[in-house]
Amino acid sequence: MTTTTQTKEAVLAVPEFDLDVSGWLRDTVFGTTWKTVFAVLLIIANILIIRSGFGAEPVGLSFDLAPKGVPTAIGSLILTLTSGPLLTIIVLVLWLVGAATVIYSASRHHWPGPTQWLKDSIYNGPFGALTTLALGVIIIFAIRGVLSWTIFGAEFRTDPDSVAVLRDTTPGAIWGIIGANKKLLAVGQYPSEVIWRIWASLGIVLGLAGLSVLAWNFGSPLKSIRKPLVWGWVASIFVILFLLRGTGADTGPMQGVSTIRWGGFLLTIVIAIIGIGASFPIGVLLALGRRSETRGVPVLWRWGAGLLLIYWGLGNWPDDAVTLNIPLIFHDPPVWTVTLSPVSYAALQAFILVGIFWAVGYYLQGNMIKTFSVVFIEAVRGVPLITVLFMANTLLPLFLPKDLDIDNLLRVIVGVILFSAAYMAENVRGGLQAIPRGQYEAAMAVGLSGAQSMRLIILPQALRLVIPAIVGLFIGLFKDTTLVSIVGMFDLLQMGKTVVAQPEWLGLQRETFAFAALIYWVFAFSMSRASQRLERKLGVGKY
Amino acid sequence: MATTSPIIKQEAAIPFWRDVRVLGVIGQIIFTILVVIGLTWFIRNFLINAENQGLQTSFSFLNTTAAFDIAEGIEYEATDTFGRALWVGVINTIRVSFIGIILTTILAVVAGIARLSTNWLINKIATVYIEIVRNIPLLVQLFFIYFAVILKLPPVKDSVQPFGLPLFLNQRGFALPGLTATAGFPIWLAFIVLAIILVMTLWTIQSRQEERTGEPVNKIGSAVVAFIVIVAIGWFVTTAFTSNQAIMVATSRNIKDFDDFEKIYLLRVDTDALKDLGVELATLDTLKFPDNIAAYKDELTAKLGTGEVSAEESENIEAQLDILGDAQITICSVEDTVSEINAASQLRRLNIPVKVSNEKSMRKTGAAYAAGDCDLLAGTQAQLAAERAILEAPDTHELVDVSVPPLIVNTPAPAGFNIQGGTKLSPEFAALLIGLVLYTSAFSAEIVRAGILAVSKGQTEAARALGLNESQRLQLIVLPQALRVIIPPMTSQYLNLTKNSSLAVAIAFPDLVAVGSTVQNQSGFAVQVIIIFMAVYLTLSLSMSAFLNWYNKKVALVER
Repeated sequence: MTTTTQTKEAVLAVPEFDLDVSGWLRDTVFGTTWKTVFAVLLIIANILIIRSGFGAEPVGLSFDLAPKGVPTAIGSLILTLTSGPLLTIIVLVLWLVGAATVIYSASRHHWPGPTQWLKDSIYNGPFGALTTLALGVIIIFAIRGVLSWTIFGAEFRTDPDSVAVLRDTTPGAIWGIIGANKKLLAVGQYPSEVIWRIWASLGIVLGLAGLSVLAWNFGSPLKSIRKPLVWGWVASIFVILFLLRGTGADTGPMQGVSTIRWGGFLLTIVIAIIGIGASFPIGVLLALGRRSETRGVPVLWRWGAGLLLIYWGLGNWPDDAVTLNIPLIFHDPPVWTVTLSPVSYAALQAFILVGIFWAVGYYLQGNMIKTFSVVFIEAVRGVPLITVLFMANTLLPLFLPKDLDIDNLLRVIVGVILFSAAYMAENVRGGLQAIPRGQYEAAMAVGLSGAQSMRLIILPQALRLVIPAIVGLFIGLFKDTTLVSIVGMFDLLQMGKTVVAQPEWLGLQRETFAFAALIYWVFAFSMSRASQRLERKLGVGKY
Repeated sequence: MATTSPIIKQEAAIPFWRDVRVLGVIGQIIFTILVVIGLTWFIRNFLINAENQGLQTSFSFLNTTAAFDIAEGIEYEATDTFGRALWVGVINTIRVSFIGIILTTILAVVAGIARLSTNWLINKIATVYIEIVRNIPLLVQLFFIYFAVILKLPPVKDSVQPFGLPLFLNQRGFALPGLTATAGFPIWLAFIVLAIILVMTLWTIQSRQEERTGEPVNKIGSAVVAFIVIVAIGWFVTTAFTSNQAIMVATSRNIKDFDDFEKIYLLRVDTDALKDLGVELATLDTLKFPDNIAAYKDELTAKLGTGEVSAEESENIEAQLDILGDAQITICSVEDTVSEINAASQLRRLNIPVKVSNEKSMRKTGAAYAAGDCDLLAGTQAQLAAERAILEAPDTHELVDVSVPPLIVNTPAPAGFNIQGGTKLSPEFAALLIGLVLYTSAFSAEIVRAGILAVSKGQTEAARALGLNESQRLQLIVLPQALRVIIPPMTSQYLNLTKNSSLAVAIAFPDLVAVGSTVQNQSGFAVQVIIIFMAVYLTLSLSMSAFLNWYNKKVALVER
């Protein structure tokens, strides 16, 4: 027990930064001469920055705090405080005050908390102090620019006519484009009269989430409803999909809403959640397949099958010479045209088949399940998502019978599922690998069958380990849903592009894409924070 | 021993349909058959559909004419084949990925170290950058950079020039200073290789000497000196002997070098007209040097820019600027050749305004010179000799050989409504590159940080105890160990960057996917195009990971 605690402390003590960058710079890059040159450059930079600060107009994004000509008291105060010269003076004075404090404390050999902090993290050496000053002025100006564009100089009216008048004189953003199109951005062309169904779906999710928080709270009296809740979550997916789609009716509260009319953030969420949900079981199966250690098809059978296929190749012996067009993209002309005599054509077929059989036998021990999993996972991970989406969009209909017409959204979702299943499989495989061998052996010793030990012993532990990784995957997938806009789906991003194309809001790309970025950021960032919390709670990576 | 036999017996007694091993094999065979049946079903459907829709199933279309244009990349014309078009796309993908990977590595190292800085401000800036960028989808960032930043830049005429550097940013792209290799460059490169070999030999000899005598030798110093000396010799030798550039001028002008154009230029400044506009004689007297003229022009422009001049005055200033602007030297040469860049940069160095009038071919350029449109014709010696021979009066023109160093710095300069010279990046390429680098670096910076943190404090202390100095400690102890941790995840980031470059299709940069989609739309060969996509990306991924795995193994050897 004692040793474990000690190890823990030792492990925790390790991550302390000790790359003395300035020391390294001093010793290698800046000898005395270079050091001087660097210092002079830094001082010149500071002078230039401060000088430009003194001359600066309020960045061409002047704070329009006085729309009617007479600034309010607070308005004029902010106006004065944020004008270029004053802002620079404020930064400079703050910096000097800090420097004086540090010098004073140094002379007294007395370091109260805040001063110690200042010395360590703001005035860490002469270069540190100068860098702080330069960066400080730049940052203050950047923040001021951002704030005046987004808030102080912005126009929030959503009425297109009045905005049209104000557009040329508004220094900042025109957020009206977002306000006026909030429905399109949120749910796309979803009919307004049945929008309650989306609210209802949201209600179901929030209700379940609330109950789950209560039920999974430590020592909760609602512990008994955990199992029904899990099933509730599973069922909710179908209920929500039904709510969103409606029945076949043309009118009424449950009128059918074709997926073409789904759009905006709703579509983003639907694709991401179905994508991750459906890829989970497939990913687990693929991971198990890739880890499969079942004895492969015995050598003799493999060769037997190989011979059979060779026979089939010979049976396909063509009557005339065959012309093959082999694409050679790294070659000019890009097609390599070969004409093969019947014999060589059959020989080629046989050669390729034998080659495949040999490779499967040699590298994968003839394990067909493993072969399939490895080929699928590596092929999908080797190509970009966009090509998988193209494939799902254009090829899927070609590969299915003519009369089977699949929904555009469904095609895209199939692509997303296939793609994320490959990554999911690799994550799960990581979890499976982390389970010590002893667990497998213990399960066997207790007399569990292979499937039982997987289900009862290995998978529960492995999946617990990979929950943070799966959240990470979900964040990635959530961000990657933007790619569906390239294959013609109207997700949040594509809706943004459409909204900007409206004649009355033409040319407001900055506002629209900044807004989209904000939405994605809020969700992705909070999920990643949640995942970090979860990681700590599950104690993953700690022993 | 007695217990062994019953077990064997029991095992022997298991019928094959209950033998797990046999069942496993049978299961696999059934599985394989199912997969084969499924694939066959798909392919059969495809063949039927393809026949119904009249789609071809061979790759022969790669040899047919593409009939569409590609905005940038290697040489390509609309009359080239689909295959060539795809090849242009492949090259563009590789180009953006390669440059992106280099820049990402630099930015990631900077941001990763900044994230560990003890300076609070640097640390927080790095953190904010990473947290913002990696939580926003790359496509949104690309759209923002492309549609909301680059396309909103001013038009070419009013290009943004940050901090007065020779960079021009406008809505048609970026113009940056670049280096152009001339005819002598390969020879200079040979000198560099020679220098490297010599330096390595020197290093080995000195290391042995160090070991033998135990006295430290300044190896780095001697290596740097040796390298610089050889490379400098190479530079001058190459400049003196390999230059094939020349200019053709009228004999009557008496030109021996680029410097002689100064007189011609000064003659062209219409001082009488300036006098008529009321310019003082003292000022006119100073306008005897190109530098002063340039300064005077700047002064006038600045005066105009303040907006504090009356309408009448500003008209006068504009008239003066027009007169000064009219005086210039016109160069004829073939577009984007070394000759053009060299001639233009030589004259710009002398502060002489240049007008480059160029055509795509030497024939047209020569015709322009013959028509008297320009003061000089720049080209290679052989080209010019041939051009001179077909002039009406060859004797009135002479060739002046000019020496050109192996590399010319090619700085962009505004010329009328355009920017001349420099390396130009299209808006699409710039947006894609910036987006990819910013996005991938945010992830990679965390990898660099984790790698550095993974080297335990004890290593540093041990290095200090051994008496290594800071740079030795970093080079010999920290970096090799950090690299071991960094390289495998970095590999996957590089692969991600390459794969993410396919988002180019959304901002119309002609990478493989964008060109492929056009090919697919034009020809309908969807399956073939997608097979090519997969083949190319898999090849790129596999070769990159093979290379980095090899490097990883090399680095991992340091491990004990």
